[in-house]
Amino acid sequence: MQTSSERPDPEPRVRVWDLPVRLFHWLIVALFGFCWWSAENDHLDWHMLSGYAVLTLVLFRIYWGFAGSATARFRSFLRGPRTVVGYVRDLFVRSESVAFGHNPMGGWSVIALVFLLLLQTILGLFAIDVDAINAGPLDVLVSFRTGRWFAHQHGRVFDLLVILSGLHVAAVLFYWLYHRENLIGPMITGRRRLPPDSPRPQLYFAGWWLAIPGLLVAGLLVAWVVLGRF
Amino acid sequence: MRFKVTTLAILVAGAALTVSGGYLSAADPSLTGIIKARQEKLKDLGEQMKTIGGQAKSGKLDRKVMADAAAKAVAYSKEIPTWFPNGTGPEAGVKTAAKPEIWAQPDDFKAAEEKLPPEAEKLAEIVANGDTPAIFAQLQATGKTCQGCHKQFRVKDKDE
Repeated sequence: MQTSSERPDPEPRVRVWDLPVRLFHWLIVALFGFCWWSAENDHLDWHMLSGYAVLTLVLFRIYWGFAGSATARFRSFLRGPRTVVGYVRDLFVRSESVAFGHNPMGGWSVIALVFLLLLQTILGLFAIDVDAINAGPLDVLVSFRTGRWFAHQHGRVFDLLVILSGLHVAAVLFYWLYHRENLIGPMITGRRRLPPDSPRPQLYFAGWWLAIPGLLVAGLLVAWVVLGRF
Repeated sequence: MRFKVTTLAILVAGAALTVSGGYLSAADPSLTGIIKARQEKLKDLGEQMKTIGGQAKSGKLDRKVMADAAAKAVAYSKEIPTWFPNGTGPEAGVKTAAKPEIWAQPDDFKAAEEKLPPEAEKLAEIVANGDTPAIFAQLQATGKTCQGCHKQFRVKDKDE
């Protein structure tokens, strides 16, 4: 990362992450931070808008998990328990990694994060604050007491999200410091370095335009839930 | 035989003392009852606010439903000063979000309590014939008095 980028690069770079995956990742990072900040500072209208954006992106990501590029597909990165255990056992073995896409443990953490984000935004749709001033668009479907229950769960899932994203960042730092492998760069550029003689993977990449229908449907679905209830 | 009865009596008395001692040292049931009732009534006040908010959101504006809810809210708003007698703070031994400041700063608390009834009464007037934006506006104004008091005298919830 630090010195090698200044030298002429003898190592080939190959594409691993498509644009929709990278945009999803960094938009979620930004929006998650903004959601937290706006809730802490009583900007509940902004909080809800950013929550709708998160829900739209998460729904899109689920679509992309079936229709996207090879490294975006759930089927490609969800491994059985034996693979995960074997992977964890070798975690401290310093070897040149030639993995593409999510590793067996990271794949499950992606699923957990996407699921928690989905759960979190759905809980928020029904939540109401203690003063009955601010409420999610679906609060009309539940009582005040039930809305308060949703709000409490919204707070608990936030804690889980903080823990899980903390683990995610810790794992990335572990790769960086222990394995000398930079995972952040590829998530920005979409490309990773390869050891010179390693075989080149044959990865399928979906065209970015294939993302448009998924994003459109996700956005319309969220708009319908949010606006259709007023 | 006599020995056995005496032993039994001592055991029973000992057990009774232990049980009652434990009971007496626990929370005073009359005070905890007041706290529980207060919590239920405050939640019910929230329900009334939400009922009116739901009407405004749906845009259908059932005047009867809103009037009933507003009348309840007005009644509750006037009762609130009776809901916080001495001894019903955190020291009562049951879970309550009521801060000790309620009793330490009675004048401030009284001032905060007195803000609600006029706003609730205004809400009752507006739901009788006001339009949706006017109802929303007065709901906000009423909710702000809840919020004002909560910020000062209520322990924040996890989700706030």
